[in-house]
Formats: sequence, structure tokens, C-alpha cells
Amino acid sequence: MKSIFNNTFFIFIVLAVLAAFFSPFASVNPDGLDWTVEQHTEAEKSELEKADKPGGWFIFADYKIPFIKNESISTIFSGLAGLLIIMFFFKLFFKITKRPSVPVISETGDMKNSHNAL
Amino acid sequence: MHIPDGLLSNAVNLFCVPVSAAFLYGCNRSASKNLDETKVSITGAVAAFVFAAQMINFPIGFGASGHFLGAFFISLILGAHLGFISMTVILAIQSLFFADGGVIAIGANVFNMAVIGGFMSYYIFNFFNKKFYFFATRPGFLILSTIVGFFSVVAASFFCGLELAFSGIAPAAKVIPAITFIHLFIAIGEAGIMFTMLSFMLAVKPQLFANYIVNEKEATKNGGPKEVEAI
Repeated sequence: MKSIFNNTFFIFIVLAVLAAFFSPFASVNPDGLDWTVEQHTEAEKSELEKADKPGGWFIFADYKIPFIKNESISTIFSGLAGLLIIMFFFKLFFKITKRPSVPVISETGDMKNSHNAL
Repeated sequence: MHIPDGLLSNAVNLFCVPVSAAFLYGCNRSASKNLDETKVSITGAVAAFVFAAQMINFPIGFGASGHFLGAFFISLILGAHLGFISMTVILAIQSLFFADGGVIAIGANVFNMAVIGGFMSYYIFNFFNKKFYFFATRPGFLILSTIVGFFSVVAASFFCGLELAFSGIAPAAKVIPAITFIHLFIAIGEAGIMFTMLSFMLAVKPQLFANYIVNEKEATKNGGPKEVEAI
């Protein structure tokens, strides 16, 4: 089973990195939600623009790294950074939620009495 | 479909945040029971893939664009509970680091995309998959998951429209049909990506879907040629 899961891991990592490299080719048109708000609501444009303009504390605002001038490279690297953040988070999540995998078993092998034995 | 801050009213946010938090609590409790290190690595990899795939907006006409949602896809691979957690993590990281989706609106975004698009869609898929034999065969599974993938985007956008209407952005009769209409086209893209990805995964790793496909189970049980290849 281990080898199967390891393979799956590599398949998705390769696909993720490929997707990150393709991200500069993404369409710049507004997405479905922005389109709806722009086209079908009463002059809420300023509201949306204000809402869309991120404050200064977002590191990779708009999928760009501020100090990289080339837009495509900036997007690719912010995407790769995102992948690393997600992978790191799950490692951390596992460490926090991990429970002891081996139950305490008493000398007689009776799990029920293990607490009494301690 | 990432709602930025400032669009939704406080009442809508106050409703969505606790609902999403309750889902997260429930899923976290059940998912953390049988986790091991390899499963966590795979979860991270699948989540990373969905995150990266979400960066690629494709044009859909009408001067609009859309991107892969992947909430149902991630639930298919990892199960509803772990899938929900992954989707929530993706949305949280997008809003905190990439300013994609609001920090306060995260409750609504998780509700639309992870609860409706992932969790609910998964159980609808599961119902048909278990109830009808055809949907538990290889082609039936592909057809069903493509249809549910399509549905998941449309359903999520419907709830998104509902939230916008409740926030007083526009009258419900106007905003809900509009957002659902444009997402029909995004959903076609989603269905296409679902179909391609699942066909590919079925070809290289059919074991991932052994729970959903009857023939696959039998093939593995009888020690058919597939299993030999897999090892």
C-alpha cells in the first residue's frame, strides 16, 4: 500500500507544479462572481474595487511576489510558494492532531486492564 | 467564486462563520482518527494540486472567466471529511496570503465551496453510486462524477447568489439567475477537467477509486492482471 500512496503523492505534486507553471497563461477576465457584481448590480463598482484592493499585509497579493518585476515569473513563484505553504500546513496539522498509534497493552495482553496496570 | 470582504452583510457573515466552523469541527474530529503520515502527505499533494489548478482561469465568453473549483474532486480522492478540511485549508491560505477571498468572508466562501461544492456534492454522488449498479461501474462512475462535478459548481454559485441577495447587493430575482447562468459555463469547464483528471487517475491509479467501482474491487480480490501491474 505504501508504494501506491507514494506514487499518488508524486503524481499530484508533478501536476501541481505543472499547473503553477501554466498559471501565467490564465485569463485576466473577471471571474464569475466579479462579472455578476459588475454587470448585474446597481453601480456597486466602487464597492467591488475597494473590496478587491488588498491591504499591504498580504504577502502574495493577487498571486504576485512584490519584489519580482517580471509578472509571469512572479505568478509562478507565488504559486510555488502556495504549494509549499499548503504542504507544510498539512505536516503541521498532522503533528498537532496525531494520537498515539500504539495502544498501551498490559503484560497479560489485556487491553481493558491496561489502565489498571498503570 | 471567492467573495471578497466588504460585499456581504454582517448578518450573512454571522450566519456562515459558525455553520462552516461547525462543519470543520465535525470533519476534523472524524478525519483525524485514522490518519497516518503517508495519507497526510497525499492530502497535502492533492490540496496543492487543487490550489495550483485554481490559479488557471479559463475564458468562458461574455467577457468573464472561471477556474477549476476542485472541491468535489478532492472529496472523491480523500473522502468527504478530509476533502472538506483540505478545501478549507486552501481557502484559508488563499485569503490570508493571496488576498483571494475575504478574511471575514471566509465563512461564506467555505460554506459555498467546501460545504456545498464538496461535502454535499460528495454525498449526492455517494447516494447514486451506492443505489444504482450502473454508477458503480467504470463508465458509470466517470459519467456520474462528471455530472456531479458540473452540479457542484452550479449549486455553489446558487448559494453565493443567495448570500449576495441577502446582503442587499442586488435583488434576488436579478443576481441569483445571473450568477447561476455564468457558472453554468464555468461548470462545463469543471466537468471537462473532472472527466480528464478522473480518466487519467483511473488509468494510472485505479486503486484510488476501489470504493466506488464494483469491478475494481472484484479485480483486486481475484488477483487479476491489474493488481500484478500495480505492484
